Amino acid sequence: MFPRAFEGQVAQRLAVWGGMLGFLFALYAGMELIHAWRISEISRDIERAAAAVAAHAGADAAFARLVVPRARGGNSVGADAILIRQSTNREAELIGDDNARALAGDANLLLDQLGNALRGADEHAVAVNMLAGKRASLGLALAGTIEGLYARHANLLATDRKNKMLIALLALFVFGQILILEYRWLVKPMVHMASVLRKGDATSRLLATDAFRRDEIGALARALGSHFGMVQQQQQAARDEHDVLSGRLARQDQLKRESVAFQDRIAEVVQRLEGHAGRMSSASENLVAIASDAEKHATASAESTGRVSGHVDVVASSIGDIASTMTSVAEEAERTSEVAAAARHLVQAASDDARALTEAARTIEQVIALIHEVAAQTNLLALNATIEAARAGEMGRGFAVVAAEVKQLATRTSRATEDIRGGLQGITSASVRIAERVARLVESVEEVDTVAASIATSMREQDANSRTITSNTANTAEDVRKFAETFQRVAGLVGDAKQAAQLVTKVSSDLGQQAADLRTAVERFVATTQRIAA
Amino acid sequence: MSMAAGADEDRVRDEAGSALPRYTIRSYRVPAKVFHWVTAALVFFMVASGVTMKQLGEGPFADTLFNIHKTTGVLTLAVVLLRLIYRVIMPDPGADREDYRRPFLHWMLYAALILMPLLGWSGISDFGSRGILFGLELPAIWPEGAGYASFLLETHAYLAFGMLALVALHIGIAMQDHMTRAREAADREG
Repeated sequence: MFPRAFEGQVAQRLAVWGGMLGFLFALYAGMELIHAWRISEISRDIERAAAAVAAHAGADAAFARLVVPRARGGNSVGADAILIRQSTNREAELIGDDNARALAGDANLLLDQLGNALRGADEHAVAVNMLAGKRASLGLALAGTIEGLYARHANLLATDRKNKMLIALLALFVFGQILILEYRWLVKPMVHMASVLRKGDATSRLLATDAFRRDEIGALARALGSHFGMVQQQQQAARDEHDVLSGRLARQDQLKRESVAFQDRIAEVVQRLEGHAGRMSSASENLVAIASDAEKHATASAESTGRVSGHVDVVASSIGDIASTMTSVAEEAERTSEVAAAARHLVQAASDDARALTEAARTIEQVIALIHEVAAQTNLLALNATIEAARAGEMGRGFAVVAAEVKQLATRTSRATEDIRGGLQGITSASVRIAERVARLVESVEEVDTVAASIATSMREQDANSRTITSNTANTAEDVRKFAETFQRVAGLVGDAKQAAQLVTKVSSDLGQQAADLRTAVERFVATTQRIAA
Repeated sequence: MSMAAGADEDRVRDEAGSALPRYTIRSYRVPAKVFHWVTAALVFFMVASGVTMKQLGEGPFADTLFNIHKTTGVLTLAVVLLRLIYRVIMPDPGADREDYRRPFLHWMLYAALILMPLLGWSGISDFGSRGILFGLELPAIWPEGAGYASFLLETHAYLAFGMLALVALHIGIAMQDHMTRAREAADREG
């Protein structure tokens, strides 16, 4: 029912209230004006009534003189009559009543009759009586008029009082309503908004209701709502940022912890690597020494076998000599015995050498096993180092290269030890064979000795025996040749082993160098990360 | 005198679960609006003319005002009766809605609008001055000279001021209603 433009804003509300109160005020003012007009009208009427009373009183005086004409001169009758006529006419006019006018007309008529009758005494008395009656009626009319005036006045005052009181009561009611409503519409929302602002409570139900209003309070409520929305957004943004920052801090912390742990592990690995490199170096040095020793023994054995071969040849030639020169058998037998003893001595030495060789080979095998183990551990460590380097990312790239080098070295070491092991197996089997052959050589030499000893006593069986001796010697020569061949191969293998051991020494010294490099890289990394962390 | 009733908004829970005010929307047909504002103008004119003629008390101007007041009073009664008939024939849009309510104040105003002219008419019937403008005379609805004229007319006058108080309340409540509901109404219309 309201016009579209009415939005209940304060100015529009004021216009409505002003219209309501203005209507009542205009009504009140109109009543006041009408009342003033009516009062002035009544006053004028009262004034006229008062004048009428005065005229009546004047006429009364003249009438009294008229009633007693004898006491005075005749001339005065006419003047009194004129006065009464004038007074009566005025009175009637002032009363303004038709009745009063009729009465006054009658009175004037009577006055004329009285004037005429003054010449006759009887007529005079009658006229005077009638005039007196008329005058009394006129006085009554005057009193009635005054009474009517009073009643009108009283009525006017009562109506005015009632009207004004009702209008004032209504105005009071409207004013009270305005106060109550404006308190509800203006003061209460403002107080509420102030409390909402103070508490920062955006979920107020009253605020949501107020936001639907189209007036200033509605605009304020909406502004407050959007303000709270903005504040909430900002708080959310701050919270998010805080979360992101704390997450970043936690990650950095974690990274730092992991970096420290990584540094520790790398340092440990490097330490162990250095230990292994040192141990490997000393082991390879031992290997070289043992290989040199073995080579020396092998050379000695070769020489011994060479000499055995020579001695066996001498035995063979001696036996040939025995066969050809049967005459000097005793001497030759003696010499044979001597030669056999020398041969036994030499064979014994060769046997010792072979045993020493076997022993050396076993020792080498132990050393190789140690080197192999060390190489395997180094390989494992290099793998560990590679993994740690990968975890460290960009910073561990230096380690990755070094670890790869270490791993390659370990692989090469392992391969070299395999080579040595292969050579060593050859040595071992060769030395076993040497021992067998030496044992058989000893048997043969002992047989030669026995045969030589029995030559003297059993000359007759010399022919047959010398044949056996020949075959045995041939066997011995064959054995010795094989023995010499084996020894040559052993010497070659020992040389290979020595070469391999030298390679191992070189590799282990390289390993030490790489470990030192690794340590340097780790120290640099530690220093860098500590500087970054600080 | 907005016919916008249901001064209080209903509150419902929306899907999100938060409390949102939902206001009853009323729109009115043009005849209803015309009836409303014509009635309002007549009531204000009746009050002004009644108080003025009473204050004048007597005289030819007062007599003319009396005649005008009586004529306008009959006209007002006719308008209010026509309006009620219109309301019965053409209910408000949305009158079949569950939340449609017509507050007590509206019924009181309707009752006053009918009772006021009847009281005045009875008073003048008793008093014996049923003549109105254009030389017409109203039929008597009360025995002439029954002696209740002053009582009836006094009641008529006091009731007039009481009715004005009701009108003031009505304006206040309608403004309250309009301020909180107008936004959604504008959204719907616009």
